[in-house]
Amino acid sequence: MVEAGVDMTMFAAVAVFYLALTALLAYYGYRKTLANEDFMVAGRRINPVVLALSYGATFLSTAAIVGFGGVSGNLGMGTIWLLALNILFGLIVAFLVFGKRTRRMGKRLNALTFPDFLGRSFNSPFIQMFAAVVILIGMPLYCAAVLLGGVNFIVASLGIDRDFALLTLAIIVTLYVAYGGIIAVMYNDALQGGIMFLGMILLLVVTYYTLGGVVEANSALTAMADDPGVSAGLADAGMRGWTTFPEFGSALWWTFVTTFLLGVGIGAMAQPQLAVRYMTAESGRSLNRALMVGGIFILVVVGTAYTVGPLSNVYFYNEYGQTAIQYVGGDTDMIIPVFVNEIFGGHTLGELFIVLFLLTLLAAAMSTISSLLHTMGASAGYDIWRHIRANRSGMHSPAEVLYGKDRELVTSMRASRIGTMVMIVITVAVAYSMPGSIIARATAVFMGLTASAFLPAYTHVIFSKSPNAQGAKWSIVVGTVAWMLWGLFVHGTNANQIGLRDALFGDGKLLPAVTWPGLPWMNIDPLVIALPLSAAVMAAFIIRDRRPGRP
Amino acid sequence: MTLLITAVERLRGILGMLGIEDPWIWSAYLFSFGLALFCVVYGWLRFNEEEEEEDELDG
Repeated sequence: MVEAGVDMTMFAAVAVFYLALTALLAYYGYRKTLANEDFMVAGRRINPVVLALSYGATFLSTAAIVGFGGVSGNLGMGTIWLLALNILFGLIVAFLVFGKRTRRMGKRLNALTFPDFLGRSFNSPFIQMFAAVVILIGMPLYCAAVLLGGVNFIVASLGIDRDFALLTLAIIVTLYVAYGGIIAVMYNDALQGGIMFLGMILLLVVTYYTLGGVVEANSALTAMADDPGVSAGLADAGMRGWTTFPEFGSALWWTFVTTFLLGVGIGAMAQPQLAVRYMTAESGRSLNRALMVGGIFILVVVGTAYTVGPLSNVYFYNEYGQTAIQYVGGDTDMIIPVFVNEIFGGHTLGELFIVLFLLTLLAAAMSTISSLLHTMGASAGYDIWRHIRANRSGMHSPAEVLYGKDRELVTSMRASRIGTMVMIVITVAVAYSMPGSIIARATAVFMGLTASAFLPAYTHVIFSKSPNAQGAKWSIVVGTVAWMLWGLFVHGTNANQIGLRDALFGDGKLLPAVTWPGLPWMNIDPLVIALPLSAAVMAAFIIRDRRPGRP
Repeated sequence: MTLLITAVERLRGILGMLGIEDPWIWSAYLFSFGLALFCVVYGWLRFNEEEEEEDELDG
């Protein structure tokens, strides 16, 4: 593999400039954060361009660039369908269907977080509490994966100690989230989004230029299906080449479609850290304007990652006679970091480009981590803390628990800051225990879990005039439990990596030989089981309570 | 119908010339570009449109 070796002086100069800008925006956020509403939803008056870049930079992180870019490098351009789903569901449906209604309802209900929004919409403290707990269980995994994405690139580029990189990155982000609230988070997101956009365009241009042009590079990648061909293991799983979709019905096809396309594509619609951004918009017009910027942003950033990942195979094969995954030693999370170091290293001003791309990935990681931290901190310090406060004060009615008093809201901002700091410690601990090739899967795990738990109830409440709270409670609980059971005990890769199944049932599979009716159940993502169950429960309660004679 | 098939074949030929022959892959690229274009056109056409504050959810 390539030796790490970026000029540290150049990196230090660029990093200091970038961190100074970050600190400036954090200070701006700190000055503007006077009330809890400022800390949580930026006073509901954020600029549309800042909103779009913040949404895009939060949505797309190192998980998309390093994690899914690496998966594309290993499995080919089929992931471009995820790009299409990201724009369709993650942006168009999310903004125009969910965003506008969530903004209006959030303003009317004076909701400050996603669990708060659900709790107040259904008038159910249980839903607020349960949603906050789901976030606190699932989100550290996703946040740790994003953190690792940034750290991997720092290690590959600078050759510095992994632990040092992990801790430094975590501390910087925690400081500006805890003190600047969502204003600092979103303005930094916008800066980071701008850097990501330029960095990814540069990467795409340099990659095609190095490989001899668009047609030459794509044709060479297509030809690699015959020479050297895909590995025997991947060929058995259904892979046919890097510019072809996996064989219909194969194990790889099921993983592609159910985990990567559905899990992440649909999962994006019920993301707590994204939903809260709708509530920062001043008007529906802001969301229309943000759509313009967001569409181009996602196309460029994700499209580049999913195109360059597979093309790295051409480079590695030409230079070293190996495919990308062979060259990096089997860890998909290292394909993009190593490729970027290699490809920029061969050009004039290459080191400057590597430093700029390092900044791009740092920005991508920091924007998402900051938003996830903000969401986790708010869940712990606002959603859960207010329940504890209410219980201590002898307040038990839904109205008392959900709406509280002004004095408690001010207290909960301090609690959110403490919550943020506690959650980064947990996240770093999770990051330390993660294996290789985990970033894309951890992302799919979190998005699948949140979609299974929240999507049916969230969709119901934004369209319904009389929300069915009982149905929502059961839908959220059934979606969560079904996802957990399938993910922990049946789904092959998840169960293997988490290890609970083997610890309880020995080294075996819970559904070892069940392939009826010809489906490889172990390759089917928990989302495909849990989301329909959650939706069916929601629908059943709605139908039951609409029958004549029901109150 | 014949026109449509001809158009698809031509498109396939053009995109095949870009080095990607599998329709499942290049159609994903086309779809993504189309969706991004939709975002730009929609946002541009409704750039100044005031949202109806009358919320049907409020009844």
